[in-house]
Amino acid sequence: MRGSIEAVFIVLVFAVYSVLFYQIVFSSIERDYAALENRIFAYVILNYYTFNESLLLKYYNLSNIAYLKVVEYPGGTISFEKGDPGNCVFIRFVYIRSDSNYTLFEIGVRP
Amino acid sequence: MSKKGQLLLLAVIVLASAVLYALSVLKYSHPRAVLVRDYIQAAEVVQLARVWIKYNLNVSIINQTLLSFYQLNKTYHLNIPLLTYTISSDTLLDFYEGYCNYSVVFRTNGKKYVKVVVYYEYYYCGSYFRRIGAEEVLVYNYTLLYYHVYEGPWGRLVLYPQLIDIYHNLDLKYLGKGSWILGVPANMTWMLIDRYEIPIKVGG
Repeated sequence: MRGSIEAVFIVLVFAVYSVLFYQIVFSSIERDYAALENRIFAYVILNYYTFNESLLLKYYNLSNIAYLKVVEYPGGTISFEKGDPGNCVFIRFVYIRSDSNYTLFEIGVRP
Repeated sequence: MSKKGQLLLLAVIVLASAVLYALSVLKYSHPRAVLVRDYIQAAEVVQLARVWIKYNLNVSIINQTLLSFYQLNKTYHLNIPLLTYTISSDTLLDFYEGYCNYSVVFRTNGKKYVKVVVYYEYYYCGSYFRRIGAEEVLVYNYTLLYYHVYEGPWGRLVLYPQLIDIYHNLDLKYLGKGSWILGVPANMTWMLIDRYEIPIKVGG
C-alpha cells in the first residue's frame, strides 16, 4: 500500500515537472510572443493619402500598441507622437510619395 | 521506499526545481516580439504602385522611387522582399467614350505578391448650359466609373476613391460603387484627381 502511494506521488511529481519543463522550454507564438499589430496600419496605408492628428489618434487607440511616431521626410518633421517608446520593440514602415518625399511610421509594442 | 530512496527523490525534486527556475530566468529575461512579413509590407508596395500610376508609369520615376524604396527598406528594416515587377497601361481617350487601365504586378520568388489595377471608363451622355459668373457655359455631361483593385495577402480589395475637382469648376456627383456623373465645362481648364493624386482624363 505504501509503495503504491509513493509510486503515485513519483508519477505526479514527474507529470508536474514535465508540464513545467514544456511550458518553459518550448515556445509558442501565441503564448510567448507579442505580434506587432500592423494590419490596422496596412488598412490606413491602403485607404488614406494624408494623415492628420485625429486620424492617427483614432488608429492609435484602436490598435494595441504602446507607441506611435509619424515623421515626414524630407525634413524629418515629427507630425505625430503618442505613447512611451521605453522598452518597446519597433516596426517601421513608409508611405512613399516620390523618390525623396515619404512618411515614416514607427510603431512600438511592449512584449 | 527506503530512507535513502526518499532522500534521493527529494534531491531530484530540488534539482529539477533549480533547473526549471534557471531555465525560466534565461528564457524570460528579454522581451520578444515577432516581426512578421504581413499586410503592412504589401500595403507599402501598393502605395509605391500608386505613385508610379500617378506619374503615368514614367520609367524614370519608377527607377528613382524603386531605388529610394529599397534604400528605405535597408535603412528602416522594412522587411520588404526582393521584388520583380511588370507594368502595363491601356488607354483610349475619345470625346464620346474612353477608358484607362493601369496595372502593376509585383512578384517575389516567382509568385504574385501584389497587384494594383487603377481603372476608369467614361461615356458621353449629353450636354447642357450652366451659368458660371456672368456667362453661360456649355457643359459636357459624362458618366464615369472609377475604381482601384488591390490584390495581396489580404485577398482582393476594391476601392472607390474619392475624386477631387482641383479648380472647382466641374459638376461632380457621386452615385455610389465608383459611379460618378461628371459635367465638364467646354473651353475651360479643369483637373480631376483621386485622393491619391492620380489624374483622371475625360473627353479626349
